[in-house]
Amino acid sequence: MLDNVMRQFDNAADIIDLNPNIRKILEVTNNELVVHFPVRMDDGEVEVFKGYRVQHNNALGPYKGGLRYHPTVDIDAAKALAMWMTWKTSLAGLPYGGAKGGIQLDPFKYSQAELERITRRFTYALGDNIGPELDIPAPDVNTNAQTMAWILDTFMSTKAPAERSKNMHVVTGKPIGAGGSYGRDRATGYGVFLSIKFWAEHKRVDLKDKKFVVQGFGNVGYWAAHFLEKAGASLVAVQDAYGSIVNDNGIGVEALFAYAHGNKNGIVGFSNTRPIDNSEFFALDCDICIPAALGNQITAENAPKVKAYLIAEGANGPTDVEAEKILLENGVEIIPDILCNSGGVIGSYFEWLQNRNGEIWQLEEVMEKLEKKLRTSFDKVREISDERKVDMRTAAFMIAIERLEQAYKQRGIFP
Amino acid sequence: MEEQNRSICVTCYNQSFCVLTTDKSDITSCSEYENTVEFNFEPKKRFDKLKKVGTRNSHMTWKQFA
Repeated sequence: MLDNVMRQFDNAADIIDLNPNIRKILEVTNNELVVHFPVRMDDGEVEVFKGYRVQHNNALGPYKGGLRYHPTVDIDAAKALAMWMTWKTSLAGLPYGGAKGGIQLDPFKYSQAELERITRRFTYALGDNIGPELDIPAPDVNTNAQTMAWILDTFMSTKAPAERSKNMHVVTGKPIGAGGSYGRDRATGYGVFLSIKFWAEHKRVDLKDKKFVVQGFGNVGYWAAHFLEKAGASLVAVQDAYGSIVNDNGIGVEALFAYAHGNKNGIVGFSNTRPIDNSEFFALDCDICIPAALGNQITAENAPKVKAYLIAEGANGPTDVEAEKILLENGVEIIPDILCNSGGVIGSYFEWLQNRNGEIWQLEEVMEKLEKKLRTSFDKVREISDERKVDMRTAAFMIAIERLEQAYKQRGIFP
Repeated sequence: MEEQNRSICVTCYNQSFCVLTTDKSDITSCSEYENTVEFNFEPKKRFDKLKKVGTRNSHMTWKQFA
């Protein structure tokens, strides 16, 4: 992961001829915090846990990034993901830097009460290394709105009474009742849809009756499909962890969602669809392909068979380096992950803004603002891509890094 | 477990049958990841079982701390 992030950074940095001193700064993380903290378990024993927070860069604003609970959490993994967040927030034009962290544990092995105590004690251990104007965590693997509510409550409780309500924006991804934002649930998927819509507008393509396929029917895949269907496009195939289904005449998104909900979240067996071999999925006849599950799905092996003319990367890193080369040579356009799935972090920014300003925006308002913000990013990427004759991914990285470079050049280096 | 030690797949409910990838060695994010806490959590039963096999975070435990 770190290699991949560094490779993309180096590629863009070379093209823009990034100032070597700024390159030195961006290649490393600002802070890497490791905390050990004790927590009493349900059986009375005490266990000591190891938690991390890596803060990559804050030249553009407070650090921002997820907290995950997983046995694989370590400094190296957090470093790569924190760096990735710096580029993502920069490209999105947000006043944020990048961070990542978590606790090295398997939450499956702990009760809810234990997880609550672990979360609260981790928050206490992080202390003032996080904060609404310093570092703003968000949900990630095995953490959710409830986890964020615990962090918020613990963080606020450590402040003086008069200061407590000023700290609502210490985390994002909170439940609506605890300062969360309307629309945060669909922000990433809506962002994927908007990216496709902007691309279609630019290319003068009408989305009506266009066929699309989605890999991954989780939050991102479902919402992207939901909005595309509303725009008149037709979902013809879906792949999830259980298998792949297809219907050339269209698959009803809402009906499939309801079916999956009652079928252990699996899509296989949905009425009027036929199962296909999983290896055939990316070779299906369609206009738009949305890989919205995981990385390295489109490879040198299946890229030559791709029939879609647009790939919208809802997942992180679904197209590998060799595949991208093949696709671009074949005239397939790719909306890169860093742009395509940035709706989520933009939604988080809106939650943070509302808490900070004591406002509550209605769903329509959130969606309108998200569209405006993402359109700005998309247009900029297209513009640079056309001007500098580079693909959209390279253009996106160039914009992200140039924004950071500009901040450093204008502010200088202290002292 | 060893070959997947960089991957979130190790704690995913779908891991054993997932068709999305054969290389589960370095997956850092996945929309199909099933949060075991939300989907499969049965604390009491697991707790009894775990008590028999020892500590859950053994390399970091202070057994007699209480």
